[in-house]
Amino acid sequence: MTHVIDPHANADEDGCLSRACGDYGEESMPMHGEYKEPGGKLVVVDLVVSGGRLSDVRVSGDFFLEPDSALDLINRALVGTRADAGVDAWATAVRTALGDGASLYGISAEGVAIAVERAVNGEAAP
Amino acid sequence: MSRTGWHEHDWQLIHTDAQSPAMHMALDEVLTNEVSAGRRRPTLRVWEWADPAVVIGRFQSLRNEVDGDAAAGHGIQVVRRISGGGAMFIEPGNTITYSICGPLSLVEGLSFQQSYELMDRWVIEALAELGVAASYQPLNDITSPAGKIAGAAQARKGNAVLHHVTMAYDIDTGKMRDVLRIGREKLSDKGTTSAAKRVDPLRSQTGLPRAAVIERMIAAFRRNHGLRDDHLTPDELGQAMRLAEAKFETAEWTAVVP
Repeated sequence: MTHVIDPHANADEDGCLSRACGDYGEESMPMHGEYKEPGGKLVVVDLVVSGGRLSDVRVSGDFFLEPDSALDLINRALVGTRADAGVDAWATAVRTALGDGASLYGISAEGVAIAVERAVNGEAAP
Repeated sequence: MSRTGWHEHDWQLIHTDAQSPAMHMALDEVLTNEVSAGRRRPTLRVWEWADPAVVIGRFQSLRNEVDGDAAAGHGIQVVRRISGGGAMFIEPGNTITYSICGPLSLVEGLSFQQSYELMDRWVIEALAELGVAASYQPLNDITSPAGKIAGAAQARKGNAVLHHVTMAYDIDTGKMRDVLRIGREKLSDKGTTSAAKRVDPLRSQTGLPRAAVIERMIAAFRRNHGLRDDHLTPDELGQAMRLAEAKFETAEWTAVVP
């Protein structure tokens, strides 16, 4: 019987055994992305990519969010996600973090995700 | 809980001497909490400003929104409020600001958009009496054919809703543009932003002194919803002074979203 070692079992797909490996020369400059839905509010995302994953994520803007403490839930939901996760995955992460207990007005989870994508792609604004 | 009408509540008016920007932030939080706890009856508070200020929204990035050096150079304080929304540029006498601290039942079951529309309706009627064809414009503006007049922001705390509105009476747009940073993305859909939207202030639209506009607005609220003259209690004032010092005057809160 062949003994198969799954390279993904304990490591990220880029081979990092932990997120800490990003601290060794792989940390990006601060990145900044903005998105405004037509007729909606502005959402801004500032973040750092470390070891291929998002860290130090800060979502801001002139949107409304109830309760206000849910801003931390959004930030935390994005930290640790892969920098190439994509809009759908980030939107799902934000939506899941907010659950039924928090409501956004003026932006959507997809809008936050688009701002994240613009940040990691270096597109602050169109 | 089912929705209640304005007339089911005993509305109180607070219109006191000028307060510092941090005190206004603190009074909003204290009075909303007091209404939520049932210790204060629903309240309309009309603000008088002691000092110029930039008031940023709860979720705005301080450094993205405000040119701190320009603000300091103009002697303008920067404070962060407890509600979301955009930055407001305030100079005493140039702005009419008020808060409604009401029971949450007033907006029970309404969408955010419906609750802004409901809370703004009385002032739109008041403006109509002054000859201003104002209307609610989603998400949170009051506008007129000649330009934007006001912006509203809401926050829900416990069993209460805070709805505060800043109306432009007169405005120094040059100084405002010095102090507020306005990014390209913000301008992407309308060519305007909350602060820089083509503002047509109430002075030019009504031809009335600021105090007269306020008087007419209060009269309209009184007529529509009932209103009794009230004052801040020593306890409320004490709570607000402590909260202003412990929270709203601190760099920690102002830069809570750096």
